[in-house]
Amino acid sequence: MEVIDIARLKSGEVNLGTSIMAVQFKDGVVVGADSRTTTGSYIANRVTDKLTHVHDRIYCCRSGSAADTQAIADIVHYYLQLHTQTSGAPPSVHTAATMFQKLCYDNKDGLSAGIIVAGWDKELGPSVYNIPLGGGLFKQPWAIGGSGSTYVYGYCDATYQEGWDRDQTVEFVKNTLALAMSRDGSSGGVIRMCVITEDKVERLFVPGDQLPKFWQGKEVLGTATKDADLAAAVAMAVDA
Amino acid sequence: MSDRIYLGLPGLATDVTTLKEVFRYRVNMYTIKEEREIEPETFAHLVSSTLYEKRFGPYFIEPVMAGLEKTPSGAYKPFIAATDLIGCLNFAKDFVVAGTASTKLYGVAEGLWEPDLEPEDLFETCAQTLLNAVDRDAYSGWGAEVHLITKDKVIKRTLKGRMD
Amino acid sequence: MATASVYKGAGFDFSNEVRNTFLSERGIPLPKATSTGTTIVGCLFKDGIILGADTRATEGPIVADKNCEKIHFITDNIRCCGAGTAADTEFTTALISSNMELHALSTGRKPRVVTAMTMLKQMLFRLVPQPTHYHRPPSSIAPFPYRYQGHIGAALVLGGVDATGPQLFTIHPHGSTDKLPYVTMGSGSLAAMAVFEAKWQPNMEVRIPHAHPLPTYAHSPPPPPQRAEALDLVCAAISAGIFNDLGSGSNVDACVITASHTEMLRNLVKPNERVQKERSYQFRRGTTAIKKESIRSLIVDEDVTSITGEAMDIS
Repeated sequence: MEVIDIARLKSGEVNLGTSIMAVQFKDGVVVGADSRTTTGSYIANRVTDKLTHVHDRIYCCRSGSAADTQAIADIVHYYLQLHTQTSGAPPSVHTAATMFQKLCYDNKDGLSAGIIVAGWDKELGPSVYNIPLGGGLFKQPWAIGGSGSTYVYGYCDATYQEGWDRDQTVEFVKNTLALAMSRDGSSGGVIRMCVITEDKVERLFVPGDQLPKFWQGKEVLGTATKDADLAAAVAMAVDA
Repeated sequence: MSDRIYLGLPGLATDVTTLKEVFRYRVNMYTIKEEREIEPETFAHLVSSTLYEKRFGPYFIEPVMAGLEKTPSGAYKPFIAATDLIGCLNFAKDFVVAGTASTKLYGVAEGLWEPDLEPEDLFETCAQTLLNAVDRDAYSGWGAEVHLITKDKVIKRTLKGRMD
Repeated sequence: MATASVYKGAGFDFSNEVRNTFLSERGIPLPKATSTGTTIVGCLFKDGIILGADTRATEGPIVADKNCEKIHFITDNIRCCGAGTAADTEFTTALISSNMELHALSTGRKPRVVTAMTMLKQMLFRLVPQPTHYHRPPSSIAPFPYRYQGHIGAALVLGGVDATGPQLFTIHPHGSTDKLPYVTMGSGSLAAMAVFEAKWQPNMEVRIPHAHPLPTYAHSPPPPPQRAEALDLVCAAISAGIFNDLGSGSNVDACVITASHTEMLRNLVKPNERVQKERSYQFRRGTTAIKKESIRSLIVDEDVTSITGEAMDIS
């Protein structure tokens, strides 16, 4: 359902073959994304920021066509500013998510956009909304999206628990994205995260050489096979 | 187009006629509004924007233009330009070619053309380029015409070529 | 249209579309549009932005123009390199340049690069619906009324220095944008990016070839170690495109934009100059057989008749 169908993209279009994620916790939400943008097999941007500000306490994670999602985010950003001026109060996350949903649903034939909207508001506190390809709207405690997400549904289902604090949630997002990026060819680069709480939005950055490491394989051929130190990540040797 | 501007329109015959009239109309309107003759460079831009208007349903035409520009001192300077079918201008310093024989014309012209030729020498170079390229193009031929534009006269010559 | 009108609305005209589709179906192919299989680059350096481009324009496998200009003027402090369909880059940048001037006039502020970037992406994506108060034939291309969606094939590198500092963007034909410290686009972008990835570093200096050398003082401390020079890097990146990409070629153009001024370095390097021909290939006059000749004289003969007689009384 969430998988971006590459064939739906017009040829040569810039694609966010992506791993994106948002998780809510008691005081706020954590949104995260990888940073890879591709045109075919070429990485057009390796440090993309897919976490887009649409209001003071509302962000969206974009996946699918770069052009489509940027345009949608720009429209929603504009309407949220207008909404704030006319109503005199910051919009709820639900309002923002509905705007995204309407744009995605009404133009579903022409768009390829999978968006996760997350943020904090006065009514509900933290909330996460998932808007997959067809333009549906689903409120979820956590959401993942993009081509990389398929690899980590199981991990998320097995790991996620209610009642986490900020640091535990950040750690969960970081690990999930690192796993997705390592398995998905069109995700990669660095991890960008945002922690959105009532008082502030905090941006976190994990460079590509400091991603959390998991089991990376061990030396099969050659010498040290007995007490190989698993912690010291050794690339699997490929012998001709 | 005017005394000192000539336009070649290779392409679909119906568009040749249509565009000839369109340009005649627009050049006349320009002359009336501005109360002066259009300069070749201005005309080139007129051609370009006329073609780009139909970006998503273009005319099958690749125009070439030649003319003499008036410099501030009152002297005349040669001017040539060409565009593609959607109006991308190409102001070349040496030569421009277009049409079904363009690939051959490029080759021959690249070999024969040299800078600062006298009018009569340029005529020979141009005529030979045209005749030889056209002989290797199945779709072009059956006669050729060369206009030699100088500051005080325009010589139109019909060349003797293959008639098959 | 009920009445004949000379009024023509702005925007594109699709009226030949149906005919052309018919002709294509009957096996009459549309001539190829000029494209710029291009190498264009941009990079950030200590005091601003440098843009670079090659100068080859192609029509399929033919080189249509050996020395075209791909760095387009937007405003005094903003320039834009174009790749893709040549006519599209030309007209798109000209339109945005004009709109930027109007915007600057109406706001009374110096134009910003983001403004140009937003105009370009919205134009290419067609965010703004077309005004419909004039007659417009329904388009068979667009699934919904407002989008060019890559039909305008302009891939751009936009750079400049404004009140917010140096800015550099890439804009893809579909309307997506990226903001990066060094960027490449066009068919030679891979070759050029390889050079940037290997050699670019923050806070590079620029050396303009014909600028006056810095004065050296006898008792001053030794100069700082030679810094990587941004302009040389841009030249190297474009050269990589010129020599390794078939769609790019000829000369290197560059444009250095700083807060104080903009310098266009047209044909900065000419690594592919045509050598003098070994001999002249002039034909003897009279080689070409002429069937008919007609001469039209452009000199208007004037007969000046002086009217002799009494001078007019002007007292």
